[in-house]
Amino acid sequence: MSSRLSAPILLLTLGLLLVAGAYLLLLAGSEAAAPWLMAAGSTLVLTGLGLLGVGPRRPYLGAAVLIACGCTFAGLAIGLAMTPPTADGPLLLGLPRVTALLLLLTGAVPVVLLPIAYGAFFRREVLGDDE
Amino acid sequence: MNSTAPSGTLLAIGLAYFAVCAAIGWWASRRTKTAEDFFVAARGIGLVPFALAAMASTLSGFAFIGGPGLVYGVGLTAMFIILPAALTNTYGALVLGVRMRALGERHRLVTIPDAIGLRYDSRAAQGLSAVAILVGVVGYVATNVLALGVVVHALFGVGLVPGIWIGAAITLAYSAGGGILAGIWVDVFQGALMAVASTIVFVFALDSGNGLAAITQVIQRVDPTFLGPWGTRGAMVALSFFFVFAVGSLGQPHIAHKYYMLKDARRLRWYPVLMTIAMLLAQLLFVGVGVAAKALVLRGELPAPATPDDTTATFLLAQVPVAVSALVFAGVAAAIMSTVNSFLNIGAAAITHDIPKACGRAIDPATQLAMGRRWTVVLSIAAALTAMFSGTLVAFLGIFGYGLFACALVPALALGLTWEGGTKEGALASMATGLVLTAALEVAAWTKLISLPTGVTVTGLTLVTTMLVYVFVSMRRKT
Repeated sequence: MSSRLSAPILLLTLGLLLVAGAYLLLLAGSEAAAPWLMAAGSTLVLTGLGLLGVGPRRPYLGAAVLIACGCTFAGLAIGLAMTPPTADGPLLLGLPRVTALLLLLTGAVPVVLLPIAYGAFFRREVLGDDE
Repeated sequence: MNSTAPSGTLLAIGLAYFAVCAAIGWWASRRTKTAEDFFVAARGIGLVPFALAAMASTLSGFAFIGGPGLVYGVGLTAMFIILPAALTNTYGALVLGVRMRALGERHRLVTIPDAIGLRYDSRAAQGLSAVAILVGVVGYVATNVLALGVVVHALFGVGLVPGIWIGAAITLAYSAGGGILAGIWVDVFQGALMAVASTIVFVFALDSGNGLAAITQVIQRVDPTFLGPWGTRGAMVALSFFFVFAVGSLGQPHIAHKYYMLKDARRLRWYPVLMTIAMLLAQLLFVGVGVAAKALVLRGELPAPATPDDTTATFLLAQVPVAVSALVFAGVAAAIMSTVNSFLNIGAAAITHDIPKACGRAIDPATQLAMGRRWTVVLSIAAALTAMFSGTLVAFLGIFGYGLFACALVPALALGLTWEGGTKEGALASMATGLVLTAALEVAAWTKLISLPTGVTVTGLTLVTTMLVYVFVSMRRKT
């Protein structure tokens, strides 16, 4: 188990505050920054939850969670930052380029990386973690 | 789903499907002799059945009917409901898997409230989580029983109300007889069926639109936002879905409960890989049909569905052979029945095991088995009656159920098992906040007393509040 004041719980709390901030901005009628707060907040919550799940002193699974969550945020940020697709815009893998990039980073990277990392480091970092 | 007269093929495949479910249920029911068999499948399930059962229980009829309809209506906004599965398939194992399995074996736990009660050494925490589960179960099961009635009617043309009772009776027969042991083995068949049906239909969907690039070009010409990164509803709605379904998945008791049933913790090693493959296959239909149907409608090759929920049926009737349609209808029934079975089981456990234990009146295992069967029947009848008489309230109950599980259980369970700073006071405060806020805000939103801006959902607001309550109350009160 992670200790009382650990990096994962701080990340999780910061993420929750950002998500709450995004909702409060929308409730107050201000939309501009809300999606960025939501994207950053959701990713931090998931990073904190993932690191809490991994537990302390499990470097490989911890790294996998950090990479997966980093890619998740990168995908969401690309979706927010890039120009929305147009009728005759370029396609990538059969989808508008920005959509394909978002799905590759937020979907494909974690979906491949995390299960394989879990299986690969299971004996070293998961088994016995039965607190 | 349209109420067309069923063809012979549809009838035959529908009957074969229900016959196989009944046969597996009967076989498993004969092996159910103790309360542990009934509630945790005797802790003897291997990796493949475990992963297939988890997948089948995770996906309700929404994955086959509501989901494709939502994609047809709002484009890739709906994709953010299933996108978090890229993380959560592994997060379930990381956060809950080995811990739940070990606690279950060491302390002979059979329910999620058992784990919460043990973690905080609190009968109140066990009782409160059981109440949250029970309240959510009735609504969630009612929603699914209604959907099952629609599917039974589509397969056999018997009418909606008889469909509700036929579907509920078949699910009840194996749920009451064999409990979760029967449910797991029926789930294996149902999960495999769902994956096969979804994959076949996805191939038909791509083929009918002449490939993904051609489908995209048709849609882009009319509405570039549809396949844009956030769909037609915009970034905040999509991101709100992402947050709620990513974090909320860790509080779904019917999935978390299954970790107790695994034969050996070492079998969890490749569970995320297997679960991910199963989920990817089973969710192909969710996106494929919605997007392909949109392109075909725009090209004038498919009539526009009367309502978004008719998208799958409209597509199937026009684009795939009737045998494949029948397979999909059976897959929808499978998705619904596997979810209903899991919820009936945890609902019965809340009544016969958790609430008496929380009140200091634990019931002996032999009586629990008999009572578990009786309460499964009662819950099933209550859900069927709710489905029949609640009108539009039934959709509200489904949303309410998912939200309540997420808001009441994620902090106490997922954070509680992984963070030693979590306290009994934090757990009680977060669960009480989840129960009260979910009920108050969902009712207020449903009755139009409040109107939330686009992108703000009751579940999202309540989930973030309950998690913050758990963290801050725990930090203030050291137990």
